[in-house]
Amino acid sequence: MKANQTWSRRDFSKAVISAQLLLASGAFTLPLACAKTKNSETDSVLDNSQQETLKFAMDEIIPANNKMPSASEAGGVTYILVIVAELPDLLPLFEAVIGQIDDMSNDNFSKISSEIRITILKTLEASKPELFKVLKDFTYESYYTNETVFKLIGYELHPTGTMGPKMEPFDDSLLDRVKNLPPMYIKI
Amino acid sequence: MKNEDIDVLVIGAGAAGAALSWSLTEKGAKVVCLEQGGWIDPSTFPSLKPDYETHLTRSGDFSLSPNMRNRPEDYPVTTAGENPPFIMMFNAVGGTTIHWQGLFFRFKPSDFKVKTLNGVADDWPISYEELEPYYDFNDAMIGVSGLAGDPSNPPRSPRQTPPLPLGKMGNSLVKGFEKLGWHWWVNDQGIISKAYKGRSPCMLHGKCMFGCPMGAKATTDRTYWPLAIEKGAEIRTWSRVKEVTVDREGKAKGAIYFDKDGNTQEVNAKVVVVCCNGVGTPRLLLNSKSSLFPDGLGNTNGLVGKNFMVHPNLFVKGIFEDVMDSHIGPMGSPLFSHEFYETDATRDFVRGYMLYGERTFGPLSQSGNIPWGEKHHEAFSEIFPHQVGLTVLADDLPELTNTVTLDDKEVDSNGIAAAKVTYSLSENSKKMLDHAAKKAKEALEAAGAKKVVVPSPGNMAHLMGTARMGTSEKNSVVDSTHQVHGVPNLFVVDGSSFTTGAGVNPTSTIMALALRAADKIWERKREWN
Repeated sequence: MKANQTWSRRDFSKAVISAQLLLASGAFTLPLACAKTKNSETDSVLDNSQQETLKFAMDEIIPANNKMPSASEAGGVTYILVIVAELPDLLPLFEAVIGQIDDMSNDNFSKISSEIRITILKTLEASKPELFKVLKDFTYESYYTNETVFKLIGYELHPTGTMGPKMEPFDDSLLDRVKNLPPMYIKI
Repeated sequence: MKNEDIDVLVIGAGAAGAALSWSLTEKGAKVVCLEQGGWIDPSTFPSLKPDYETHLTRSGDFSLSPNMRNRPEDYPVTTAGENPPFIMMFNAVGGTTIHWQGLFFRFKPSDFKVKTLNGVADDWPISYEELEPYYDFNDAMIGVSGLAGDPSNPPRSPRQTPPLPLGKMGNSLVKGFEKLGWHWWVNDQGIISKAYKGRSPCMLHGKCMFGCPMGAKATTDRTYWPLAIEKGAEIRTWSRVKEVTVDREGKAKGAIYFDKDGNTQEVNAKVVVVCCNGVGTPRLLLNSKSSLFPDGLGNTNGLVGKNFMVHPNLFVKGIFEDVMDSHIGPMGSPLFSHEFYETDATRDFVRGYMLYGERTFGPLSQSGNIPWGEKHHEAFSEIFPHQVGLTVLADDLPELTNTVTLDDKEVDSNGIAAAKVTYSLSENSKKMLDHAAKKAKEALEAAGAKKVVVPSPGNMAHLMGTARMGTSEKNSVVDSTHQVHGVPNLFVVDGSSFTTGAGVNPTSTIMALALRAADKIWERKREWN
């Protein structure tokens, strides 16, 4: 999905179910408790500070290199914002991840060194694996459904309904040896 | 159709229910099919969308797992045992053919006689020769791509359309098999490579499990059902059967079901056929309790739900230096090897397994096990697009301890008890998988893989054996005509009818059995009056 693409209701329904399952697992008791302290107006979006933390976290998950963009450069934060803006059920999960990271970095995650950010994320991964998985999985999802990334990794989407890829027809002569094998099945 | 006019009530509109309903309607029977799901609009298939992979891999409306999909028409399936299986099915018109890969293998003659040949499990009460004309007929009905002449199988009629392309990954595996001198052959697939009976050919988009809006894949909503409906069959969608009812003499009377609004409906018929798959069928029979059948319908000998089989597997992966583009081309498998299929006395297990080349999903699915952090891109670029799958599918033999029972806590959206599946690998299966892992590695290395990854055993989620056909009332739930022992007008036709699982994908055999069962049911038409 493009980062700025509007989700259909089906997509939202799926994600709602996903969130419900994650929430039902009991892994997010603390985040849910935290979420209740917020007022309803701010529940639907991540504020600038939260977005900043999210951006730096996603960019440690998938950093840039000389060929590939980082997660946020590929529109990762926008991708997440689209989800949480349209699907409030997912918001507690992201608030929980960001809240944990902010707590562990004294609200300074974007300003500390990359090495310390990585240490914090590894600590989170070890101590709250389900919560970290939300961050990692949605970062990967934002990245590997991005058409700019598709081009950079050499992936042609060929969505059904378009012309498919060109492939050489099967060459029967490849089977010349096997065709001449005696029957291999047991005759009853 | 008025309820009092129904000859045959079919429960379940998947592979078996569709073929059987068409065949009986074609002969002149008045058929009504109750299906708990609805028609799937092809324009909603994830395969049409850039983010198609997200639709399959997480909770939502196109997940392979009913537990993750969690639509109202799905029912929960809990799992237990040493190797609890990942259950996959789809509840809709077309059933699991909606998201299957389309692999269209046939059982071999030896698969029907494992007791006689190997002293294990039980023989089927029918033979390959008896089923062969139905395999052929079914192939012609739906259109199969492939090539006749495989020496590992009995001769078969020319395929309706030519084989689908092998692609780079397939050609690489060919090099490996040729180097080792092993058997291999191009797959029969229920995906047409040329236009056939008004359906468009495959255009190689490669997202078959995400829905085929082209209609190249032989889903039964696009093949058998339109023909059956044209001839007068009726499907009642959003109709979830609560129980199969019986009369005082113990004959099947019909069914009680919930309609879409949750209202209870009752329907009677002269014959009832259960086609709900290897989990849904025992669940329904066990939920159909009465004073005559206090332990569930057809369960007098306690075998309903026993002998569950699911096809143990290994998704072995080879990493190559060259670009393999395994994500390009029809999903599923372009080729297979039956080098190790039949029993070999020199090995420490009986029966055998299949190796088949398996294409990959897209980049999101392949990123799942890639580490995060500074090495991420390096690790991803090592596998994409350099990965080739060589899947092991092992013959599954029945075990009384592998079961489908009723879950004592979970219920579906209508309050009907959910299914619970318990499964553990047998010692024979473990030895077979050990052997297969070594051989898959050997084949991939011969093909040029620089690295081979052998994962933990999984399963193919082929749901089989839980109302099995047998040679006597003591060892089975149904007879050779699929009639439930002791209930003369009740039949079970689907993967649950399998006596043994063989080492190949089951759908072709399920459909052939359904066409044969329709003939057997029709032959007894005089009993209807």
